[in-house]
Amino acid sequence: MSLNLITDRTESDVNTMLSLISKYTSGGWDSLTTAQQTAWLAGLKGAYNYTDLNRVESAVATLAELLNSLGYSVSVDVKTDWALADIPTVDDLERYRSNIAKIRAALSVFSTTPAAPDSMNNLTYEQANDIEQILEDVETLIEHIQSNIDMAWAQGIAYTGLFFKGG
Amino acid sequence: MADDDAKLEAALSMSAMTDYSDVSAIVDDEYTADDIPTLELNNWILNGTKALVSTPAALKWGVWSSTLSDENGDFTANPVLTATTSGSYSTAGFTVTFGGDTWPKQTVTTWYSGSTVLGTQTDDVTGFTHFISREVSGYNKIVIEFVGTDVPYRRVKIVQIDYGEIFVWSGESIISASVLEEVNLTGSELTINTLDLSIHDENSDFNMLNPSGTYEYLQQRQQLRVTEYINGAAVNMGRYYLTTWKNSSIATADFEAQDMVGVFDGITYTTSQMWAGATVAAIIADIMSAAGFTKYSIESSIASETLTGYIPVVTVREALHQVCFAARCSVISKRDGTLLITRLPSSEDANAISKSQKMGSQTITQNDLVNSVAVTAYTFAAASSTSQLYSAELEAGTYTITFSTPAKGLTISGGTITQSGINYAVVTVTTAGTVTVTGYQYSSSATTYTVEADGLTDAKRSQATVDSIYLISPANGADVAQFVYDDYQSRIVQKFEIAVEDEGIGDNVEVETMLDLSKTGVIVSMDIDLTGGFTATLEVRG
Repeated sequence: MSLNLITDRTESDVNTMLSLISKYTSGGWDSLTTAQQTAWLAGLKGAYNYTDLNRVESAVATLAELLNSLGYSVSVDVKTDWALADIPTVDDLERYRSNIAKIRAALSVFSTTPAAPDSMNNLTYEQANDIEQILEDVETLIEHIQSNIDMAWAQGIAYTGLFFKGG
Repeated sequence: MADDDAKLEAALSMSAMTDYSDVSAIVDDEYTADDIPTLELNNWILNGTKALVSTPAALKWGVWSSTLSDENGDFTANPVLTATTSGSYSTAGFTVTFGGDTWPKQTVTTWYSGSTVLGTQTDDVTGFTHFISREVSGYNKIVIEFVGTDVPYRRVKIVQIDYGEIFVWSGESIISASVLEEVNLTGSELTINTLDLSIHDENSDFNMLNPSGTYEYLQQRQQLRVTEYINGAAVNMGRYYLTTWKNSSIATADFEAQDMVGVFDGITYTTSQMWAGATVAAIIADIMSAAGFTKYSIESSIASETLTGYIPVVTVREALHQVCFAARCSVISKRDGTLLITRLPSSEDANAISKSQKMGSQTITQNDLVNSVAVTAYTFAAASSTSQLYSAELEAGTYTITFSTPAKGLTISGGTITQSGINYAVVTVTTAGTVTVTGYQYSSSATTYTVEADGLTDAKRSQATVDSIYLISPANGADVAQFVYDDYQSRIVQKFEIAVEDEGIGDNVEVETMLDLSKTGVIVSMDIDLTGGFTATLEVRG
């Protein structure tokens, strides 16, 4: 399972973003180099784009389904079709944030797992990283659980085999 | 500086707007759009500065196109803004201010007179403030097509439209600038704040002899927005409307301007009713409606008070004065362009002005003694029979007839009344001839309320009289007389200069005087020198 999460945004990414904004708001789009324009059009890590929202929402849906399949009870409400023309509201993003909190609360997470943000208002790159780090940690924990179940199953088979063999 | 006449009355519409766009807001010169995070590519920067939309309708959006440009910055269909005015205007162009982080690639502007195209022009846009320069006379409709966006995946976001070109004068380009702010405590006069501005006009833009200058396009009521910078921080010093201009030298232009109350002086108010217990809020709303002005607030305790009577045909300024006098309140013209209707002093608390704050000397004078006030209150009743209000030979057309005496139950011969009130009738005449309007005229009975010093003899009586405010009735006559009398007893006027901090007209202040005594009063006048270190000469009456 790979959710392709992004947890390595840095202040430098934000500064790059600010630098490009400063450049095109004073000199226009053509003041950017071709490389800068290409990078900008690909979506920059210093910004939160609809692709980030869709990636996180999809990951939340996947993890919730996995957790439920493992016997945990997690109820989330997701939207995975965010688009360029959308304008997210406080309510939209409180739902988004609370999904993260629910996923985090479903398991006993690592001591290093960050807390879910209190709000999506005035979002920082650190908080954006935290959101996806939570999902990544839960993904890891689910993999551990699945691995343990597989191990237990294997051990059960082995034990049963031995039993039958011995019998 | 812009032509606010056209701006105030332009009806705007735009194709394909977002739901929360407010077209009317973009002609509001105080308007600044909120910084709202959207999912336009790379718009929501992760630096902790983007506050989310909580209640969309409460936010200031300006006008946003509903569609986004594509990866090349092109729209499938370019957004189009249409501005229609009821009158014809002549301007040297106009200025569009864009919000967000980009601007359109181009504008294509078409000027119309009715359905006749007066001109079409394409301009490249190179920044957030875009001046469309073209001298066009007699237009009443403008259509602006916004072609693409400079940055891809963006909406067109319009924050403001000003008719005319925005000129910004600052620093050494300003020779002198001063603002006079005043308030009258009893509402016995509705004061007008004024701006005097003198600039270095190096390019002779405003020289009347320069054939290529913009002098021709100066118009009364063009707006001047005044900002003072104190230690780098901008302080809004109000908005003013051009009244006169001249050249005092080849490279000097002088402007005089007034606040909105001054503008009110040029607008006629006719639609008074014969009110019986109408709230102050309702009456003021009717007056402000005549001026198309909504940026005012009324102290709640005053708003719910009631008045009985009427207002004759007067200017909006005078009508507002009459309501305020009858309601015992004042109008403060605030620096944010709004009007506050309040009763002064608004607070018992007084801010201290120490001797050390004062610059130079202080003068103290005493106003003339008034020891008696007589206020006439009126009761109105309609006559039981009709009388002729107007009669004249009129050609075919539409006329507004005003009456010197209020009347109701109007009837007409020789024409049709299409609109009427106690003060006026709008009549349409289809065939030339004699037009006669009749109605039931109101007559008045008067009661005089007098308040005066105890034991006053005729020889020592110095009386002020009020007898032409027809919203003073027996219900409020005694209160008005007492209020005016009390005000006249505040006779001490202190005049001194200070470095302005947060003082404003109407403030209650306690001034340390030359004898180390303190005297409390209300700031009734501030003559502020904006180029001389932000100092002001204050008049405090108490």
